[in-house]
Amino acid sequence: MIRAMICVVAIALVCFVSCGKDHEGLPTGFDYDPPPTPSDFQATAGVEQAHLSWSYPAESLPTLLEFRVYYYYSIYDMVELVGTTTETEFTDTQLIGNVEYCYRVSAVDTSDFEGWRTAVQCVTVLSGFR
Amino acid sequence: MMRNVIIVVTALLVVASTSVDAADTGDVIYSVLFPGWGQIRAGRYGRGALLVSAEIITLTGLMMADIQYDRAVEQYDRARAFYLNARYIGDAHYYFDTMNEKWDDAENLHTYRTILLGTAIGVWAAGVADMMWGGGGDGPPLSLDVSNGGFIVSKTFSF
Repeated sequence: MIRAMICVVAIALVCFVSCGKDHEGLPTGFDYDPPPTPSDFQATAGVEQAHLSWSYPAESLPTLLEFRVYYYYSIYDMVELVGTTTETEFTDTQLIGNVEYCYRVSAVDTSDFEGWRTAVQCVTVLSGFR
Repeated sequence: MMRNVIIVVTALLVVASTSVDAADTGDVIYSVLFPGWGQIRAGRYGRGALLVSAEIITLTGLMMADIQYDRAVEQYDRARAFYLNARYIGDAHYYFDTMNEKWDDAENLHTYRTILLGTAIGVWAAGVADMMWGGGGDGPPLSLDVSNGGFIVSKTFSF
């Protein structure tokens, strides 16, 4: 009788140990190799538009899919996609004059992986009214 | 870990099965069911209360550690899935750091869980062993002395 009860308790304990969740194997390291970050990023004000330009290493161009241009909202520390381009410049149009716009740009490689975004560049757009 | 548990429990099983005669079988059964129960039934209230308290505290801690461990594992699995599916290097770094942090949490909680499980087994084993070799109560736990016009109920404690 006692032997049977000890067996039941032992089985319950072993079940408790073995029925717990297990975490999967930890990846050995950081596996991603992102595309380079665009450099010399500049934003120039225009009349109700902003002109953005940057440079990118020529050796990385074969694996480049596109550049992504973002608005950056500092109060939220968030970005919003403005558009994409395969050139090293971009013109954002139909903007409101006397309003400051902030941008960031990133490169995306052919595996659709996006690299680090550039530092923020802000520009106050000129008004079309005189 | 698992092997150690099995070894300890098997050793207890063998020892217990060979030396049950030393104590009252009924009390030993209660002690096997929950540490301290048999001691309380045998009138050893202090020791019984100590074992019951120790087991309840240990099992409560074990349950909390187990819940926290499961939660850490879930958070780790989620962070790992986000990391493996990240399409932006910033997200990948963020989830990689989160994943490592949750891994460490899960490892620590797993250690606590193992220690508490070992403690719970130890308290249980101590309770069973105490019932077998700890000596029985010297007298009845309650006694009734009838005197002139009344009676006295006395309780015996044994530690």
